[in-house]
Amino acid sequence: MTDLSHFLCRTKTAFGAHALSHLPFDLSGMDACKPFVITDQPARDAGLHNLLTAAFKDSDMALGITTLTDFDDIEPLYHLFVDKGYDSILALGTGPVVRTAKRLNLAVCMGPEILRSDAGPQQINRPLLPLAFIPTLPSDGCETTMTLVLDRFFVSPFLSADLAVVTPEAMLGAPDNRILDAGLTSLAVCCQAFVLSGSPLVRPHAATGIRLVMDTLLPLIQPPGQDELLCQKAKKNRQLPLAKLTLASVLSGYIRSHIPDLNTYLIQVSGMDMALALIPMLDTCKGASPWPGKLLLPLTDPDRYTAVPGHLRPEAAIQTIQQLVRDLSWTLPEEVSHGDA
Amino acid sequence: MIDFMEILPGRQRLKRVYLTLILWFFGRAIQAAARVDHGVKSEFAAMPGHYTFCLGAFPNGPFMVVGKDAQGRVRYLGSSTANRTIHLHLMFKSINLLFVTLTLQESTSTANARDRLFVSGDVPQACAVVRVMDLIQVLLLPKFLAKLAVKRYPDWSLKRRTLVRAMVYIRAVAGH
Repeated sequence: MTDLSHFLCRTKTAFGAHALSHLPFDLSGMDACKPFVITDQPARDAGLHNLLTAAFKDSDMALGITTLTDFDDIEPLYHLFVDKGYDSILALGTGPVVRTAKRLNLAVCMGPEILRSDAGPQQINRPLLPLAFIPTLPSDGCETTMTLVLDRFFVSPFLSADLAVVTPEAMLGAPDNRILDAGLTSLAVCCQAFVLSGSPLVRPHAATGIRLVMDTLLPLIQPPGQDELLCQKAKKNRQLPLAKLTLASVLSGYIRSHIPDLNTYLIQVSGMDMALALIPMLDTCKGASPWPGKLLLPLTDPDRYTAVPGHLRPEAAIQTIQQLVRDLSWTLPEEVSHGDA
Repeated sequence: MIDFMEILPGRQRLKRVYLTLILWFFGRAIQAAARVDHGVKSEFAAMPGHYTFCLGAFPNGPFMVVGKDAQGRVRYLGSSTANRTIHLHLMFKSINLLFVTLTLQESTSTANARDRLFVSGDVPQACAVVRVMDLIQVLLLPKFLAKLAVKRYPDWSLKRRTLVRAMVYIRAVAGH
């Protein structure tokens, strides 16, 4: 009998140059004409709101841009949103910005009382307002899941962003530990999904995520002290690999929506720990299924994959991950490899 | 603590002027090429009578409207879409994306592959219009620029490369 597989991804993902120029059209396709932008101080300081404003020129859409410093209290945001008649939300930033955007969306569409901790269980059973997510950094992928974690869990496909726009121009500089954590988290989620999910629909997303991490993570982690020496051009050159790593985070979020057990566990664990935990997991599975061996293909390249005999591929996949972790440990400053990670 | 501002993003005047000029010349070149170039002529011959199409940027243009009149002659009908029955819209999703294509940073086929434009109308006619656009770009631009604009540079006869091209230029400037 054929196994049952599900895959639901409500989010349209745009990646690459001029991706932001598609945003006004996509929003108007969802009947939105007055977007409310939520952003954070680093994005504002880097002038990313100007990038967004430039993309909306000639679109006849007015933008309300809010820079948040306090992510806990959404009451002023709620009143601003309702009083000025906004009809969609753009989250320009990562974790806390998107969480605030989802909370605001819930409050506007389902009533503010839904967010109260003493409110009973409520089902989100209708579409919310259009929500677009423009990441500025790689992250753990929580932004693109169907969940919202407050003092209780909200899970609904309607909580997913409608659009995720990953563009190199919107990338901020990130500290190495942040990049490492995001990259290894995405790698661990994608590898686990590739080997364990049993779903032919999840695996292509996982393979793409793995490939993106393997291509970008190591070059992005700079040797100690080199950050200060980076000139403006070198920083610009980092934007494309950063955007690719961010895309891997976005994809890992879609995958995590389909592995709910993994989802709760992953929230507390750092990327390096997850990558280390991945190795014994692959070791355990290598005799039971062909997928640890097939993992070698996205982890390396077709030439290496075909050069390794079939029965040695699981071991080669494990060695590739071990080698990556070793290389990262060498490259990272000591306080990052032993402290934060 | 909330820092809030409302922005009306405004217009990109320089881009608009550039695109309006390019589309104006492009429209006149289509009208000219439909009379002197057999490739463009045959593409239009296959279209139904009184057929009108529009190329532009969503939502406020600029636009280029071209149509066949009662006698089957191809005419550039200006830049306004108001009070016209338009059978085919080829619209770039924003003025920025139209600018990227018309400054040859991306070929028409690449723009299409990257989902930069949408079509409202019949697909066969849309394909014909894209082919006409490719022919016009080859006729108007020198080879090194046209190669950026089209997928494959055609191998044309000397007459078509020189005489027909000159005729298209003269007629486009004169408006015939």
